[in-house]
Amino acid sequence: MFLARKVTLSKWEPKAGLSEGEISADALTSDLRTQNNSLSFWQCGVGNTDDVEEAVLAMAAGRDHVDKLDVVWLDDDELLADGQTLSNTKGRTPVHELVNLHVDVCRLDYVRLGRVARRVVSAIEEERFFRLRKSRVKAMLVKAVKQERVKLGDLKGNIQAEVQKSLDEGK
Amino acid sequence: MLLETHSSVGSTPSDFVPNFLPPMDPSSGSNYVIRWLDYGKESLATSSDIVSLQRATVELAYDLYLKRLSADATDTLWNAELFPMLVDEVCFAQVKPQQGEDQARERLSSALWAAFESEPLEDGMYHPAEQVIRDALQSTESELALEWLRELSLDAEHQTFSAEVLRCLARQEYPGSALWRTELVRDGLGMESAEIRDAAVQAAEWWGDRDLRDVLESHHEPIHWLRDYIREVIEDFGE
Repeated sequence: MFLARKVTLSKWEPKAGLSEGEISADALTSDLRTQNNSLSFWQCGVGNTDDVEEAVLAMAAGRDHVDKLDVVWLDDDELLADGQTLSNTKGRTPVHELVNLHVDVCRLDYVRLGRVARRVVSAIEEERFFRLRKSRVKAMLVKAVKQERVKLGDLKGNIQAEVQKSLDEGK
Repeated sequence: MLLETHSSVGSTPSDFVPNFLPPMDPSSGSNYVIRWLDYGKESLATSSDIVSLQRATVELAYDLYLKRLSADATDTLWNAELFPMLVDEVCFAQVKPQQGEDQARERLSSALWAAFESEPLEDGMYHPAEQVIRDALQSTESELALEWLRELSLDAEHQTFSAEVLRCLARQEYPGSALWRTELVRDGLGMESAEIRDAAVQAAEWWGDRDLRDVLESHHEPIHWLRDYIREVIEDFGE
């Protein structure tokens, strides 16, 4: 099974002043920012496009703006082999049916966080990532509202307005 | 700086009067200190006391100048007589406001640095820097703010910061003119930093100006995922 996490792809590109294979501290401190020594992931099945888009929907629906999203997905077996602790927790998303797809990688320390970073780098090298542009994210949210998977009123202000506009325009 | 000053000299006797001063005209409304600066402008200051006097007098002159302006005075000769070394009043308008502009730019930059240091910028999440930028764009210095934000967005020395500024700028509803936005995206795409180029494409996606399509189409992107993203954004322009 794979676990998806939102990142910012450009932060993981090689950086001037760092050697090949070195991971930018900016990438680590911004994209792998822990809370309570945990990192948030979403299950995405076998990592095919449909599964990953479900994870993206869960993430996007809980945000403030409709925006592009970059995600990578990591193999949970590899995370366990790294000594990580996985814990099923309820995710913060207004798409209720996806709440239970949430997983925390918890009990992270400096070393284990570094291992997660290495896995993110590997995932990008192995093309286990994609970017959904803003219009694509909006289309997913509109579709989810039309299918009554999420209530329009449960979306935050800016997203609600953008989705409503698209619904009014019949998109 | 209005006056060249040198402070690494000794103190001046209290009864010191430069021997190059012309006789003072009691009816001129002026005095030695001010007349002195007439010469001090051209000559090197000779003591730290002189430096202090020069600075104090310039401050005084500027205050008086502002009062005259606020009183809607039209007799600009008044200042020329009182402060002959400052006869070019345009100097005031250039010197003092320039200092104020530098401070305002510094305040904006510092506020943005502080915002990004306190909280990372995330896709889709509100960031306090958005409000800092919004306030700057709605201020009386909005035209200057556009220029400062442009500079801050294209600073190769601080590429992560620049990219974050540009991404927050992208979230503003049509800042500046269409031409300004187009040039900003074009210049952003020309940067070596992938983060800034990525932010420039995001700005194009957010703003969606027609002219940005040409800018995106003419860009040759070496990173494949960013190239794919550009292609998709261009497709959106066609819809």
